[in-house]
Amino acid sequence: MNYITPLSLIIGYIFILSLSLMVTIYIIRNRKNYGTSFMGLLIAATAFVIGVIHATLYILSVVFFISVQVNILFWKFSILAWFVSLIISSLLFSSFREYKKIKSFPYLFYTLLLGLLIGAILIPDSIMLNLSISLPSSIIFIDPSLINYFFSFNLGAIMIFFQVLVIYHYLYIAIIISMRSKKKDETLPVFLNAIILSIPIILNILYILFHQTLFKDFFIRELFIIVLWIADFGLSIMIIKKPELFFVLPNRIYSINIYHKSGILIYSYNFENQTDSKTESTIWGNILLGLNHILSEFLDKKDKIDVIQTKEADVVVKYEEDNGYAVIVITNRKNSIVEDLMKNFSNEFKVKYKDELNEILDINKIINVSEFSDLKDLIEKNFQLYL
Amino acid sequence: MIASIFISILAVNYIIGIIYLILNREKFEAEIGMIIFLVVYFVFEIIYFISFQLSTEIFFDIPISLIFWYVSIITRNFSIGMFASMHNLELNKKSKVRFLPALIYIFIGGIIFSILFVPNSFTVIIIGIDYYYIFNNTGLLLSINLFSFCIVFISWIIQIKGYHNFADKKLGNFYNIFYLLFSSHILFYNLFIIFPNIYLKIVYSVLYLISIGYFVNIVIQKPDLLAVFTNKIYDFIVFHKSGILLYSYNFETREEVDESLLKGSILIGISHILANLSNVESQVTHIKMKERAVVFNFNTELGYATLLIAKHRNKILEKCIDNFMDEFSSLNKDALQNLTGLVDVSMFINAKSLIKQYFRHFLTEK
Repeated sequence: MNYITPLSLIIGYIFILSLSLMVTIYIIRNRKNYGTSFMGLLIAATAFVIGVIHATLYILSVVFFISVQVNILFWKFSILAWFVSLIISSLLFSSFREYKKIKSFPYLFYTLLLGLLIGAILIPDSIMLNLSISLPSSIIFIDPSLINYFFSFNLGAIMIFFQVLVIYHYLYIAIIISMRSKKKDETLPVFLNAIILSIPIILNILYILFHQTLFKDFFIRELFIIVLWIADFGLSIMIIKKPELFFVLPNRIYSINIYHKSGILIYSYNFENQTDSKTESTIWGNILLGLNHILSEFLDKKDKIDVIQTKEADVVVKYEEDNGYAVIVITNRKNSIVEDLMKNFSNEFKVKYKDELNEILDINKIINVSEFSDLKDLIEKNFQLYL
Repeated sequence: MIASIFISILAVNYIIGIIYLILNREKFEAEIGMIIFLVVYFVFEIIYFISFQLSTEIFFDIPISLIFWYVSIITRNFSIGMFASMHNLELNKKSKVRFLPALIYIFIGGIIFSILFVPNSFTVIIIGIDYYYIFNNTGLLLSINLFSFCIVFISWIIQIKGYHNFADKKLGNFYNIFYLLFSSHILFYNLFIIFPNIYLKIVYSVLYLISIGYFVNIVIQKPDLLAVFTNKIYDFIVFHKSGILLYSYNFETREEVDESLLKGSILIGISHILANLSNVESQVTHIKMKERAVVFNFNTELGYATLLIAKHRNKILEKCIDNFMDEFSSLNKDALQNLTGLVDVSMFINAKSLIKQYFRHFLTEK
């Protein structure tokens, strides 16, 4: 019996398992570095499902023979893990596009396909095991080429259709992001991710298509797992080293303004020319002045303005009632990254200017806005993604 | 025989509903998505009920009856899943997991669909003058029951929790009764597929017809069902670009108000924004608040704007505002163009009848 292939797979498995566990823990601990916590958790879940769950079930079903029923069970669970990882990764791609505002339709469709897949898997004889040696009496370490699984037509068709849709979805999102982004070079990593993740999916489709033909001798199944693990390894390194490559910013911030509750503008920063300018552009001048008055009316009320939409931009508002000010970010589209950055910035601002803000809590006090003139560094630190 | 009676009652029910809708179509105003949803829902219900009734008729051969039986299972799961998803989504609009019920239904629906085509899933037996179907596939029977249980259980939780979200409480009460009937016929359907017999079939069919008839009755009695559901308008305000309040109407008190709820500096603020009317590009269109939405609409030609405070913005509301503004502009064109000096806002009192005309669906019972 040839032991080189199973041994190589076991070594590869141990390596990818350790790497995936480390990457998962690292991402969870540093999830804020990945745009939003939600995106961090999605990346961690993808790494865990592919590198730990799927890899383990795959190895247990093709490198070891336990019994026909148990091996088929492991193989069925490995298929499920693979499709769950595909759904999570496509959720990740969707969140690149809108952040949290994920379009529901593709996922309603994926859920239907997952239901169909589970239904097909539950049918007896949907997967048959073909062992090329006589049935062993105990657990053995086996050459993967001797253990083959055959899919029923329904199951195979659902799996192929599901994966074709996922590839289409990856590429569609990558194209949409590229079309909407002003800086085309920033969207290149999304394209690369889409292509890298599509290669093992294509190999899996080829495996399902040809698993009952002579082409199965080309080890497409083993090639699939090797390519998947190589892609997983490459992406894991990139995730750790360059987290910013895993998200693009489909939106822009035009400016940040901080208003005292009396309506006085404390500070204004323009992102277009990166200056701390008190003079707003003529486009925003009147709007901001009006907004200023509206805010002074709403600030002490329970129902707060969340966002003001104009034909060209979203004016995102964050109130700090206890400290008597509001941060306003003018962006082309509100998303959770902007909200998270505003929250972090506001927290640091409160701490840094605690005394000054306490002093001007009384609206009858004169506000010396020059005390806040060194806010530029704090803004550039917190909003560096948008600079 | 029994099947033809039930099918005839269903047909009469729908024909009355359709004739009423055609004759009173001007009363109904709905988003195209809602209309498509209702049409698809009713079509599936019709296909389901007819195929269910025909599947038990020994008039047909067993293979044909089995086809009817398969069609009835697929269409039933589709229609009740679709109805429950839509109801749950509408009442759960603010929830972060508002799509979760729909995902659960679709997921179990997918499993049912896959298992349904396992060969020999049913044994057809003849009792009296009817065919009955015994489930050989326990997985299929379990998944259909699980599907029904999830729909009833989740929908009741959402209906009870979301009752306060109904803009029209009478509509909310209608839905309570409808869900009682809906749950009952689902319960009897499940009892029927577990213990197939003529009595359960008749009880189930009668309950089904009552619930469908009741739903058609809701559509007829509450035309706002298609437009309002959970949305609510609080205030509608018309401003001139100079900041003068031309007209203000409070939907909660159903009265005109001299001063809107937005007072003092907010009026100054709005006037600043309105002063920017010439800059079409930067017009404010919408202010989202935690609990409500403020929708701005501008008429740059006549120099006025409307401000509507509602629970949430949607296309029906926008259409109502557009219709109002078109009519308001044509009625008050001269007055608006010559608005200088001391302004007599009483000339804009005609806005009240326009509000009653275009926002009638939102003037519902509290």
